[in-house]
Amino acid sequence: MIGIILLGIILTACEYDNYNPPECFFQGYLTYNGEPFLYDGSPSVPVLRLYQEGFGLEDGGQVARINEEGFFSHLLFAGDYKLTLQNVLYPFEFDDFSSLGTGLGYDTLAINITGDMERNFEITPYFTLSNVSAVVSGNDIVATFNVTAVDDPSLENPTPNVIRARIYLNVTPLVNSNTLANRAVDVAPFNTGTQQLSVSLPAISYRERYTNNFKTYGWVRVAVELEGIPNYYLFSEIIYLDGIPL
Amino acid sequence: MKNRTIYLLIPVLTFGLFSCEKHLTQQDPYVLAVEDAYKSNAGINSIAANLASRLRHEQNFSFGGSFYGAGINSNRHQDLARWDEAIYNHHTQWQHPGGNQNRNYRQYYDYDLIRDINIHIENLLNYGAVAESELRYYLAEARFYRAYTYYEMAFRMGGVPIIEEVYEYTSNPIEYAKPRNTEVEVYDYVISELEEIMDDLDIALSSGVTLTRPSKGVALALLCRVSLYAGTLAYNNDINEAKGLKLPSGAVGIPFAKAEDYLQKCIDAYYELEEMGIYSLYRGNGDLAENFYELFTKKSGNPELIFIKDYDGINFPNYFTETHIPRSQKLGADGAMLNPVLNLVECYEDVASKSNLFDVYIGDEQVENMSDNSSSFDYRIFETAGELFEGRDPRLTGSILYPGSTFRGIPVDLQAGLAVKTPAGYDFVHVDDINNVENPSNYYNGERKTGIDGPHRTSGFCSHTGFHMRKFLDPNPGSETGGQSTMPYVVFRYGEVLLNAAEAAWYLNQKDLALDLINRVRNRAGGEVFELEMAELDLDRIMNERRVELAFEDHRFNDAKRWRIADEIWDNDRNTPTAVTYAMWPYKIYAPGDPDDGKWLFRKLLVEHRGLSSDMGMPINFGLDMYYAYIPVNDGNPLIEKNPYH
Repeated sequence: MIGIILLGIILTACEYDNYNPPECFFQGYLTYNGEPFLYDGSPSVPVLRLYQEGFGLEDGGQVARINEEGFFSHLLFAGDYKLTLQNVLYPFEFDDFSSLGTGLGYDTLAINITGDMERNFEITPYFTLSNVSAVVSGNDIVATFNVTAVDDPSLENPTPNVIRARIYLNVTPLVNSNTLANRAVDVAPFNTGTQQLSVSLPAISYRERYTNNFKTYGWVRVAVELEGIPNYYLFSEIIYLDGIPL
Repeated sequence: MKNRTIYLLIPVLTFGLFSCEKHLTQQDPYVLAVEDAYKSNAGINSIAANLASRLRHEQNFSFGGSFYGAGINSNRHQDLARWDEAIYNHHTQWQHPGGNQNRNYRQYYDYDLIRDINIHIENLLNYGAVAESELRYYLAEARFYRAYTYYEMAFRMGGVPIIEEVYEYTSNPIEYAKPRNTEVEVYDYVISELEEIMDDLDIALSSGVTLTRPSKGVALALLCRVSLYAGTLAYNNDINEAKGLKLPSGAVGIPFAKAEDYLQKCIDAYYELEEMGIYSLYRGNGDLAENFYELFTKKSGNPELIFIKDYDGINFPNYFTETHIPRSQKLGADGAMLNPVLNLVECYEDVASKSNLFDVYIGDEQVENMSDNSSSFDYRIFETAGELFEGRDPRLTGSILYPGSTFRGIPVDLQAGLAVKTPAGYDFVHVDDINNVENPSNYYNGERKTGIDGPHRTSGFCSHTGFHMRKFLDPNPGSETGGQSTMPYVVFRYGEVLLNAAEAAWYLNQKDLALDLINRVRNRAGGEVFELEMAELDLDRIMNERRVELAFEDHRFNDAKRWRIADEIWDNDRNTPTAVTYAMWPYKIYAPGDPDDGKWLFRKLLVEHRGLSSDMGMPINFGLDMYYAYIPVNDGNPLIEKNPYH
């Protein structure tokens, strides 16, 4: 008798306590000239923030994480959302969000999520990286690449100088600014035209920053840091590298 | 039946006729009524003491609760290890306390305290039944605590709502929602309050005025500091524009036009303190290094102390000595937790040359890893380990223990290991664990490898950087246990006032005054020979003077913040030299038959005990969103706007 009552409670309790899981995908790419823009991808540099109003809690909302290929995919409940950007300085400008002033935040878009939604966000970076090559030279990994200033009339702010070149080497293909083995070198500041930059990383850093790392291969990525824009860098594609000395 | 009814009715009527309220409302015999509490000096003192104990000091010596507990008082002084003065040497297994911070760091929004102070002021006015002059002092004292709290909130978070009324309970709290006052308004408010209450704080209380209670000098010292801070923020207005540290409403951002006014107030506060004739730099000991150390150990006969938080070692225990005394002199499990880093040590100038450099390498300076157990670098050889530090600013010896130092007359035993001479250079041998240093089976060819005090790469409770704390350690035996130290926490001292005024004078181009004040501090530190010529004085020198004089006194973070350099020097990047912490390890040379045998060399190394065990030697982080801490927002006050970058 008690058993039946308990079973009844348990079974009906489940029905009252469970919510349906979120089912709406909010996906898309950061694009430049319509093509996916290769972004940093690390979780430490959030860009897109989604929040809802009216539920009492005032927090920063959720971060729709953008990966190394510029792709984001975020699972949401249906409802009204506000989409804005993390209040930081970026090495690129958004078509959809304009700045409210340095440090003051960005525009907010109202989004109504009713089902899956695909939305790309067009950006214009201040520089593009190209011709990336990485070789092993002695006990160092040396990367060389071209950095070209983007001459686009839609850019609102003056192009900041490139001040540092950075190199990252990871044991997996997911290379971003959180990658432990990295180096940065100061470069002569420039903000127009094309320059070839070179930056190297000692192989011993690859061995020391990862425990028991005996891989002779890895994945390299380079980035440039712009003046006055901390933590958010412009990244290149990811390159596979072999022959790293032990 | 009728009788029973009457008998029933009688008690009911009896109670009914009496006023319920009067019978049911009783005086609580265990709590003083407000009127009674404010009738006597003792009652008012106890309430004031509670308010005073709630003033915010991030790095005081109070200790309590668990090691990783929440709240400032259970932090075991970890805050001293958060920036570039020291690290905290606990364990490698867990996150090292005193690691990187984010925008919530130093968030402080204590309107509970503001409300209690406002209530206290109201009660003093309504119920205060003591001598009229004493009542004026108590009112001024309460306003001092309130002004101090607003200063702390303003410097940490920008403009905040200024509330002086006591609010009654309401079912619609939105009507009390106030917007943020501008940053200028809050600083102006603090300054005008201090100026108004100053003379009343000069009243001598019958219970006596001590260093722990606000006086006219304390108000002037706070005024000197607040106006320098506000003046610096105004002076740096162009940097604030460039870095986006302004809000259009003025809740953050002080116009440049206010700079001269604030900075001159700082200088005027110094002049007034000087005229009072009771404060001067401590010069009680002819030995300059001992003198600087003694400054922080003497509570009486010390004309430099203006305002302190006091500890009696019994009811108010001070565990600082117990937690940070060198390993060789500790009694219990703790000890040697705070290790000063080379970043600070190398700021102390050589007296003769007035240069900072520690030349331990021949040729270019190197930075080595603790994982490197051999090297072919060229090292300078020293006869004794202490030789490297000879001739340095005596404040180094007074503040920090290094190889060759003594504490309580006992030499510290700092030796990282043996530098075994090889044809290629040196091999470095170290003990495996600090607990095994005296075990002969851990010796190298009969030679002891590592000193009792470290430094060591992996062990805790010893030095990791090659240095130990000295400032604030209690010279009295027995104080290193049970929290029995009585060393005071210094909030204001005259040395800071001189440095504040010197910096303000520099900004206002009053260079003669700036030089005079800097030289007074340097004269006390290292004698006449340590003073500067006008040509040698610049802002870098003034900044460095603050770093070495006020080390560990909770000024470094505030200074880097108001100079607007914090985000550049601490940019969370291992590639930035100022963002990384360094150690300097002394090695005894092992080379039997060689003339260098038994001499010493030093290595500059990257600190590992900062960060996580998976990310050791983490660089220091200060983001643009930390210039103003995150101001709490909720539905209760929709008028509060967020700080920049939040």
